[in-house]
Amino acid sequence: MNHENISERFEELRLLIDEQDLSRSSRRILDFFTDFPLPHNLKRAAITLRADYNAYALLDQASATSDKLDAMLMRAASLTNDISQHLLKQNYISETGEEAGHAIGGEFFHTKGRQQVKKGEAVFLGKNISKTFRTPKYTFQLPELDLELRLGEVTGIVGENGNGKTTLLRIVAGDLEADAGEMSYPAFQVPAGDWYRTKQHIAYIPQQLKPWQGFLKENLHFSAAIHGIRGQQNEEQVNFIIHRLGLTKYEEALWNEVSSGFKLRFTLARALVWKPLLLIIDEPLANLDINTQQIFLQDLRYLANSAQNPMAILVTSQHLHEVESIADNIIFMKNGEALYNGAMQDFGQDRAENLFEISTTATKTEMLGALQHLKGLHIEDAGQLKIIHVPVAYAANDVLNGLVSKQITVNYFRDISTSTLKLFRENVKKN
Amino acid sequence: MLRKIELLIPPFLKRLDQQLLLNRPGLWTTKIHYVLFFGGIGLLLLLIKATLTPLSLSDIPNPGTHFMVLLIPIIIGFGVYVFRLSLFNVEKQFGQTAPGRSLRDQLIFAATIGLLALMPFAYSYILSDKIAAQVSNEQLSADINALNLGDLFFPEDVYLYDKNVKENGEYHYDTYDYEGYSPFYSEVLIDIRSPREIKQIHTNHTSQEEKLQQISNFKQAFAKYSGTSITYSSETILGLFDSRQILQMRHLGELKAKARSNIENLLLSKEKNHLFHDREVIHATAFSLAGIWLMLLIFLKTRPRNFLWAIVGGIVVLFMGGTVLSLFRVVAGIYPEIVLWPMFMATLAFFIYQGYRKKNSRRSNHWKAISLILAAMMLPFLPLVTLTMDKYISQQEAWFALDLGIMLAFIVWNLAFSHRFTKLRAMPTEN
Repeated sequence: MNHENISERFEELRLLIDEQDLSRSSRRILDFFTDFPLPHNLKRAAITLRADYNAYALLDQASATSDKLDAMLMRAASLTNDISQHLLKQNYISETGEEAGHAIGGEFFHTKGRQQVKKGEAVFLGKNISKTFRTPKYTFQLPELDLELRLGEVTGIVGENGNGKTTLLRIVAGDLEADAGEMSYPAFQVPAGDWYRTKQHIAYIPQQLKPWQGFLKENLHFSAAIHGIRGQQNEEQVNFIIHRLGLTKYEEALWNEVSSGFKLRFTLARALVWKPLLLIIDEPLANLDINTQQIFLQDLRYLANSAQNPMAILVTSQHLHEVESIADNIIFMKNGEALYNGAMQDFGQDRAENLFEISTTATKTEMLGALQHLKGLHIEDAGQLKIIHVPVAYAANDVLNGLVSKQITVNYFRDISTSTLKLFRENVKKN
Repeated sequence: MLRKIELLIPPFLKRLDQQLLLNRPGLWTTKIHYVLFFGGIGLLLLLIKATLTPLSLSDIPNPGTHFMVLLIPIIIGFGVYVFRLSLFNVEKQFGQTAPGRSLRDQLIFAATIGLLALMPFAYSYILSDKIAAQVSNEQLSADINALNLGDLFFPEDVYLYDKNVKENGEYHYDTYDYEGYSPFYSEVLIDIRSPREIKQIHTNHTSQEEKLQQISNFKQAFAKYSGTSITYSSETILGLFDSRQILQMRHLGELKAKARSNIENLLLSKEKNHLFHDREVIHATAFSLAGIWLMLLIFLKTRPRNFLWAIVGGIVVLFMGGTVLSLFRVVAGIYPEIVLWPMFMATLAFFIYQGYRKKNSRRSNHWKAISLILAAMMLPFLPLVTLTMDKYISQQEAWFALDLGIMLAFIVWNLAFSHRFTKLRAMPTEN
């Protein structure tokens, strides 16, 4: 998932086209133009493909024929080939599709003031950050926490309400002052304490979006222009972002004429149009439908991974699985404490048991009977679901096979052994 | 609403707007192109109206009234302008700012305010000069004398008749009783007869022919300045007068008042005696406009809520200051001039100190901003208050002090307060 190379991207693209996933493939094709200097005719073709897909997606079932879809898929495949050929000529890839010697460099969109940065470079380094809120009745404390944000990485902060997620986010965004700790923004290359210039590299999208004035597209142009993207480049970049994020339908709209989902996407567009080094988003999934959530998260992943303009993304959410699917690092907050703060891939590696979230038609007794061959098993209730605990030696298949063999219908099943949901469940049990 | 306003904007201006947005966002935010276009059209239309509108001696407009009426759309237009300015702000969105941009924008705002202020002045001056040229000074003098002389023969009721004429034919009216058709002293009309002279003429020149001539002259002048002719013959009118009968003419009183009003307006224009001619008024206007300019700069730097609170706070400070000074005078017998300067300086120092305090909560940052706004509003009056330590201060000295004060306010704003506001805005807060 991380630090993808060019050949992996082409492989991904071909797979998406084979699966007839034009939504993602058209977006991924556009992403090539962000990262590589490609001809304008190809770019126009890519934007047209994306626009045609957006129009196709709005058609009713009778009009959205498979012929149209096939035609667009063929165009996508052809574009992919053309891009590949061009990159081959430019020596970005070799004949075998391997990475060639040509380093990715040179800016296709030059952002004035944006330093040349590399993936993995530290954008934010925080050590022992803490914050305390006191009222006559209550005290909330965010105890000491270390946090590192790097270019090309997505960091998710998850946890229940009131655990300090937004507090931490606001501290990193420079909106809230920490009571203690050291913070620095190495990649920004600005003097410490110069918050104005620091915030020029941070795009912060709070949960409560402030309404925009004027036309939405006008705001996008303005945002790009004040960050140094001028003239023709401004036009191209804004149009590109509009197509890339699927906003063409509402580009001439006003703020109160669009839904909350599109408001969030426009706010994201306004942030992305000038390519911040650090993107901070608070609870972006709350107002999005399931499909839009997936697209939004995919886009965040792709954006972080951009070869030319990587960014560090910090996102909070209560949608654990969704965030975990794209995050490189996870912080699980509970009572202002980080119960876990580290790489997603490392979470749960030292676990002693596997946990599975399940919903069946059977009672707990019936399930225990069906799985009695799994030594060390115990089942706990968790509201509408049950949590099955088994030693690490037993995998998901072992549990499923056991249930299915006893004719138990499984309505829902999820392996949460390496998910922070496990921490939720553990803490629910303690409560 | 916004879409309706868009319909009023011509295509070439929309294209220019787009170009500025893409290439000069800082300049675009000043909306100077709209100001020059709509302001220029407004000014041109007003000048054309002032120049081409036909005038009649029987219906002379009062340019002073027009001036005041024109202020209303100017103020509304300025309000709309300020509102539009506040919608897009480079600094409030942490955009890149170029050196010298602040000074450029200040000059643009000054030009905008100047253009808006020019409109009522230009219109009123042109109209006033046009009115003054309607009739020569000599002719006007002759007409006023004719009206004053002949008015005796046109009493509106028996009471006025008896007031002016005794049974033995003596005429009563003099300077204190007679309301002439103009002031009896004028800087430009030197031939106006005084009531004493008029009385003497009536006393000494009592032949029928002379009376008939006076009546005839009155009728001519009356028709000219009231717009209504008196259809009765001079002989009939004299006959009625001699037999103590009142002329039956509708609205004679109102028509006389109308004639007086027209002549008064003529004289005001000839003597350049309207409000907008007054040098003190012009000076005060210039000072006020400079004050508005300063307030605009402050408004664009800070949150509207802080600005409004500062206005309220300023009123409170003024009220409290006045109360304290009164108490000093009443209770302690100390003249206000003695305590005004130390009070003023203490208050100013207090607000400046508050504005630079280190405490960094959200509430205290609002208070800091409000304090600095109040300090900026007080600075223009610092030299004047200093001078009043010496009780005897001429009007010229007072204006000089105010001019110096406004310059001081701009210097301090640019060198200190402006940067402080930028810093306050960018700083993270404690809560």
